[in-house]
Amino acid sequence: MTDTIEEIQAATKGYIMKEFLPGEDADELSAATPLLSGGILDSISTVKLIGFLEDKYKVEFAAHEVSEDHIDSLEAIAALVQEKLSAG
Amino acid sequence: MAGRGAGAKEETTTEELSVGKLLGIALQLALVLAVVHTFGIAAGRGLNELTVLIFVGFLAHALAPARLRLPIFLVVSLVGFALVLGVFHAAILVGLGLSLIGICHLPLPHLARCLLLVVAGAVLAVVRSPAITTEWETRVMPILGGIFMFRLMIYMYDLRNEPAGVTLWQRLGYFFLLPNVILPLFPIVDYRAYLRSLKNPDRLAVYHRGVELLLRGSVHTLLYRIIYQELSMPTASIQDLGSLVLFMVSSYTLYLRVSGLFHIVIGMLCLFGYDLPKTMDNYFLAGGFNDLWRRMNIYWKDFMMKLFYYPLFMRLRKKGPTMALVVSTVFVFYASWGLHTYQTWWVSGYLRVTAMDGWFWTIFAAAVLTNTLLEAKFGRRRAPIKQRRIPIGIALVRSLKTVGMFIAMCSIWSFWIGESPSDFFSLLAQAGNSGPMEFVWLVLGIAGVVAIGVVGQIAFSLGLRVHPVTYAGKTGYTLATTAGLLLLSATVLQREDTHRYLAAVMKEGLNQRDQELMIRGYYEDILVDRSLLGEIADAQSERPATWLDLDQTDAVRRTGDLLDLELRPDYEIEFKESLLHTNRWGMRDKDYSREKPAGTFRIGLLGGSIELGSGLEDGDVYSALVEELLGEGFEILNFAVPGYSLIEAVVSNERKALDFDLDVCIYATHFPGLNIVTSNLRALVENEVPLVYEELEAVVRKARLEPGMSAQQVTRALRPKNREWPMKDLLAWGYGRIVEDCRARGVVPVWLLVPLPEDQQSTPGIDVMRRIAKEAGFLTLELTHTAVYGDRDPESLVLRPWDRHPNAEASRLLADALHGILLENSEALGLDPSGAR
Repeated sequence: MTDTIEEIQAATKGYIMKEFLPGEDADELSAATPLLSGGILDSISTVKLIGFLEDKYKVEFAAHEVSEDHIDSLEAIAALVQEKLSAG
Repeated sequence: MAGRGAGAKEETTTEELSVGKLLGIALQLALVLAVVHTFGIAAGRGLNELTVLIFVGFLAHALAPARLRLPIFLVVSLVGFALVLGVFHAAILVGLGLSLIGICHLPLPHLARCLLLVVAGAVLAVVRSPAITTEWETRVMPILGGIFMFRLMIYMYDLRNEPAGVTLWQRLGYFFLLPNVILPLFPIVDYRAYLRSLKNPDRLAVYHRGVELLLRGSVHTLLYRIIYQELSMPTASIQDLGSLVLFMVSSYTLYLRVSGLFHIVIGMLCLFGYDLPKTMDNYFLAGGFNDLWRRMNIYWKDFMMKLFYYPLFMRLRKKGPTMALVVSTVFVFYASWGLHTYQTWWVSGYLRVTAMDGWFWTIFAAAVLTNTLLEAKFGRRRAPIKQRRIPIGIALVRSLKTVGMFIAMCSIWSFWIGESPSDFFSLLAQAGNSGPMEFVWLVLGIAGVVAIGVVGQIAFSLGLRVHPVTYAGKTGYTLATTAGLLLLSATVLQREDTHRYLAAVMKEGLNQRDQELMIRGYYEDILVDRSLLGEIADAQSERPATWLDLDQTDAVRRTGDLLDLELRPDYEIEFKESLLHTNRWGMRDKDYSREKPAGTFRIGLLGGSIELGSGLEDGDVYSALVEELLGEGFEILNFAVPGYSLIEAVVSNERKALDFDLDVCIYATHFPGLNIVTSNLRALVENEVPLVYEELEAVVRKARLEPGMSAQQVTRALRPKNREWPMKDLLAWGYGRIVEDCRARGVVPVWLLVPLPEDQQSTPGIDVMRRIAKEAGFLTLELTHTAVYGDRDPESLVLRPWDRHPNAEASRLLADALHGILLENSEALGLDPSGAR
């Protein structure tokens, strides 16, 4: 069964908190918090996150999707992943 | 200020704009533009011509309904292009630009359109080459290149995945951005970021940010001027730890010019509603190489990540993330080097690939890669989402990292602008001339900066801010800063006794060192991509490719000896847009007989390009004018050749001048005289030319000069600190030889100091030159700057912005002054045709 938006968001948030924001208050990272433009994700953490999402959901990202337009927030990431999952 | 791209708020309509706040922003903008105008910020680039347009355009844009705002911006941009370039050139620019945009939208496959753009780019690149020089090309191509050289790449990349609903106005607006006309070396605005920038509904906040950025850019520019005019120094004058530190810090901090201009550019765009991201983010505070890469020229970093790093990484990631990371990172830096060279071509018309650039990018790539691998393995401490008090230990580590990074960048930058790695290491060795106390002071100074960093971070984490964050706070800051600067310009800066550091904020143009370089025609050597935004690059930007130095023409021939070159006899050439003739003796002069006519008083003049009258008509050369002023019975024979200095004067006097039965022989020199002697001796050693004179060989031995030494190394070897100068031996030999040769023929030897229009202050070597000239037995005559040029604007007395030789007017002033001083000294000179030998 396909993961829901909320589940994808939660998994992504868990990964970001563990890998990039250890010790931070998880409540501060909302679904709309800007990740790239807000400086939470840089190039290294971005490619790590992409690797995590690709492995977990067995999807593939295109290079142009690694941008502020597509992965700047948890909600945007979840929507993109779900779109890929739906597309099969 | 509202965050960029914030939420789903409805756009503020014109009616909803707070009129009070808009007027407040307009008032602040007027004050900031007054500062820009008063201090001539980027005036040489045309910003002064745009200030009224910016203000009027801003008001029109702010008050217009949403559907008209993009067209208004486009109209303002086109008017701006016409104001700075002229209507004709602006029309060419827009025509070529529209053609390129048209190619992007041809009904062809994406790849075919890309190939067509490459072909069009290649044709334009040929037009940009120095071989093709037209006025329109010189004016239009740098701007056209600035607009399209990178933005077309991004545009085509994004066109494949473009969001729906992009309008024609948006497309045109992306390319025809108003500030492009003042800055070809434009921050690479990303197409998607540009489209997003139009979505911020809080227009007042965006406008206010524009005012702030304009002011910040202006302040950066003023700080840059102080560093450039007063602290920046030639490497040759570094002779101890203090001057070394000053040189290294000033080399790196000159980057303020770039950040200043970039802030101004983005500020201008914010005034028209484009809420673009930051171009720079407190780059002097970077705590590591990766951090610097993320903070300095952010648009460049984003461009490289988008078009090169991510596509390559995504392609390689299946082969292992570490390998993909390494290859992508290294590729990005070498591609950056290549693209900087490509950019240099479009902006300057030169294609320069230097070893030092290679070293620079390799060092930077290695440092970032190391940092990247460490971060990939161990992670990176990020700024907390929520600000809280920072522990002193963390603050100390950060402060140490920041200061360490600043020192590293000062070192790398100083290395980069040097001539070779050995040049840099010889520079570092100068610190050895200092005593232990100087090192102690340096360590204490660094410790002090670290301590300030710790205190600053803790204060910041407790909520204390240097930069105001509220609308009222920002407004107060803007009003206070602009009012302070305007008051300063109207009071303190008007006084003649204002401290030179303060007075430097008003100076736009070349500092003393760069003026000398321009006189010596060395600009091509330093016009590499790293100096594209330097003052010399500015001055050279309009120089036609046909504007050559004489040694680049057939008017000279190589001698292969100490002279290196001489003028061809009986030659005529159009040189720097004037006619230059030589007589049968290879002199730029009338056709004098070798034997002096009876009843004639004959003066010979030895000198370089100034005496030759570089860029002047034959009749405007100052020696010719003085001859006219002296009247019948006087002849002045001009033996000057461009590039000649002391060594060449000795040879030329012996081989040529003294055969012309002279009564007086004038050796003309200038404030940069020592530098030219140094440079010429270096060339002789480099080319292993036989030095002929034993004394000259002794100087070379004493200074331990050898081929391969950089100009700075040779200078320091000839003028070392705390030791006797071998240069003094050189002067004593050269001056003594001229005097001796002249006296042997009964000729009065004269040492003449000729000021240049931009010589505002004496150089350290001049006292030495004067003393040794007197000791050698010269009659020393000096034309002072005030006596020659009075309070004339130096800019009105030079040939062209890109060529600082005296123009015809300056030559006339020089002739008047020289005529006067010759008459004053007529007795000592025996200035009397009837009594001539």
